[in-house]
Amino acid sequence: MVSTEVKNVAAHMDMDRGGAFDFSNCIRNQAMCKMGAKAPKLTSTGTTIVAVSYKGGLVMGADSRATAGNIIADKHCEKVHKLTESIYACGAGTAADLDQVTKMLSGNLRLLELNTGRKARVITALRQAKQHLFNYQGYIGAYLLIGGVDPTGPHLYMCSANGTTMAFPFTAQGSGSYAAITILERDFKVDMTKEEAEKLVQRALEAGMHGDNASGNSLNLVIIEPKETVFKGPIVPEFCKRPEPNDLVYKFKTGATKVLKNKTFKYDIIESMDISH
Amino acid sequence: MWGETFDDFESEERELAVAKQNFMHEPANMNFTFPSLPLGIQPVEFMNSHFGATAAKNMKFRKGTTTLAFVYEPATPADKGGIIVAVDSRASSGEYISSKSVMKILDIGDRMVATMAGGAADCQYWTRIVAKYCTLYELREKTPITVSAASKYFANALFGYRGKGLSVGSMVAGYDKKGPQIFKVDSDGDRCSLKVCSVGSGSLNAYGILDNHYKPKMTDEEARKLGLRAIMHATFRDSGSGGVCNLCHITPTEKIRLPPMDVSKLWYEFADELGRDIVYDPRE
Amino acid sequence: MSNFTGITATMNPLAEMAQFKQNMREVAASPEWRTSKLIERQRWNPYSMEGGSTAAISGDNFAIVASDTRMTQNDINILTRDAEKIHVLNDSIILSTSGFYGDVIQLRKVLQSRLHKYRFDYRADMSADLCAELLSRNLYYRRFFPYYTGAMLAGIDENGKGAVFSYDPIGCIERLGYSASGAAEPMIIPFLDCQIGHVTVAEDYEKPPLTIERAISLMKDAFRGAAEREISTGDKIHLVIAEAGKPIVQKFLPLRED
Repeated sequence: MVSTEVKNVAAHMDMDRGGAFDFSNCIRNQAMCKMGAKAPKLTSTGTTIVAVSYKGGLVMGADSRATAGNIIADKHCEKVHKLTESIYACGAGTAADLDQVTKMLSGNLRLLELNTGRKARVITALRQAKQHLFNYQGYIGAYLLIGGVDPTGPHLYMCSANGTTMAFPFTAQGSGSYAAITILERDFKVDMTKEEAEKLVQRALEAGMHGDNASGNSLNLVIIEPKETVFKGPIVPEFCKRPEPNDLVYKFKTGATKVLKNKTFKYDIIESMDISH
Repeated sequence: MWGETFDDFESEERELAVAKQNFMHEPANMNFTFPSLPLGIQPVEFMNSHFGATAAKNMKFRKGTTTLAFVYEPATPADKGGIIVAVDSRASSGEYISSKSVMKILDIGDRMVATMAGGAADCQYWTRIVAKYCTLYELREKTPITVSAASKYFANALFGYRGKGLSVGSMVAGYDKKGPQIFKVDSDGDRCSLKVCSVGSGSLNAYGILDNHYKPKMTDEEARKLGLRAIMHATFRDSGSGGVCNLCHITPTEKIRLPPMDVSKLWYEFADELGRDIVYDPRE
Repeated sequence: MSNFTGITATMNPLAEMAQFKQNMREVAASPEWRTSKLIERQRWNPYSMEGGSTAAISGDNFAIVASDTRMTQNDINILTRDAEKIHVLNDSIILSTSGFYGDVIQLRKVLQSRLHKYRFDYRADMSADLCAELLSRNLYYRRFFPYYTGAMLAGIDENGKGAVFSYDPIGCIERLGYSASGAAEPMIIPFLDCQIGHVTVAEDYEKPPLTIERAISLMKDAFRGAAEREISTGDKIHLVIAEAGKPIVQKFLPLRED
């Protein structure tokens, strides 16, 4: 009686979008949280990502820290995702969602390129991303900077998790974006040279990594131009290095662990293989 | 010039009485009151939201315990009998062990102790208040306070803050003119006299051992071992308890505090005693 | 299901199941995404959390207190890189705190004025033992509106020995050999347990004695390790060393700043 009632309400809410994500545990999980359970933590890339367009190209960059709560889960996480040869995406938000969305995008864009025999356009990548994300109403926590160079020139777009998109000459995203955008706003000029743009992105990223707890460790850059794409990184800024080594050496000699009991098992070796290489 | 008169003697008595009135009178209600939250904010709800399950790790209050106490009579003339109080030493903030060396047997007087279960700070504070009352009582009345009276004062103090979110589960144990006594007192205002008693998250496990092995007449050695064993088994199965086992033996003449025993070492000792293999082997 | 933590079987299974079904109905009737999340935010919240960590070690005739100097807002934004989290109250008492900085300042003020009055009344500085009890009481007096702080008090006690006292927000007091508090507490404590408490090594294994030099090195390494993996710990180590019969020494050492 009770369970059918719950089911009816659940069906009425039309959560099942068929063939995509399975939402059947949503209600149950919330009820469990109400009972006092704590939901598992997601790894999120509290991030600084920066992109700047310049004369004939685009520089994008990201830091490399992934956090779970207040713990650094990954010091060398790759946040610059390749979509095609000349389109890249930097992501902020939930790490798993970003990986999946960018993987899907790169697959679809490659198929498109093969079908049409032409290079994919940046706007295509953007449209695919926003339509996918809008479908899930922000529940896929992917905040993307999509940028690249195509026959119509360099393009830079921002796509938020609920599907909002905007075009920019330069922008920063993620928790460190406030610090990063100050550098960009001050020093951005139209039609910069490649070197200037690269320096600017690096400085903006360093500001984000310095001023934001959830960004740091090292930075990666990608410089996209019509003829070639250069990937630079990981670059470790001076303030991200350990200023001093440890004072003491922590090594335990044999015998540090108390042995409670010894037991020997004998096996007959029937087959062996070389695992030295 | 002035001879000593009966009047003078009387006034001296009166002075003494006045001094008694002024300096050793019944502890007056403190004019201190706890600062409270702004009007309309519910204290219990407020505390839960900031220091409860969702709070940051080190902002949760320390709690979690197994404590036990029992009364026994000496089995042989060589034994002393009395009360055994045994406790673990873990304080946890949520799932985090914030301390593994808490002393949960708090002194109230020379012959009386209170155990600490529930909110650690609550127990420590209110035990102090009770201890102060008992000391003043002894000075005033020139006789040690009974366990019954001390525990009643304790229970009344807690009852005054009922519903405000205090969390105390204490056993007041001691020897007085009526013999060995244990009173269980908690923050709801409950107070009852018991012979065998256990309080805390691991109390069910401790009761299991206590009820199985408790005899009204035991040797001192047996009784102490029973206390240790009950605490050890409780810490083994209850995640809120652990650390070392602190044991206090209150005999008719003295209060003996035994050195702390590591419960994991105790486990190996007991396993040895039973001849049980400590290495886990799924094939066996 | 196994990833959900915090479920404890406190009710009997039938009542628990009934409660769970009731919750299912309630949640289904107004799921999270249909209710305003603002309702949650509107609760009165007088506290904030400024991150950072502190730790203290006591030895035979010394006490060492350290903290980082970063102050953080909402776990993310850095407010300042040289916050003062260790407060030297007199020649033998050091207060170190983490938590809500407003309460930290208030607590320091209360203690300082009490110490001042004590000096006025008794013509002597208060000892660390007394101050420890005083702090415990003052924390408990705010039982129903607590200070949002994880406090530690360290110093040289009446017998010239190093002392560290650790507290919970409402004044549960304990004297320990070493302690930590703050965001990196769960990282620093196991390290100190291993290196000072020697709880993880066999009994007959060699255990180096805790000299003041070793304690200082351990303290530095603990914070260097914490800064590697904890986001709100960094910038500088503030090291305060109290040795019996000597004036208190304060030092600042660099930490990574990202």
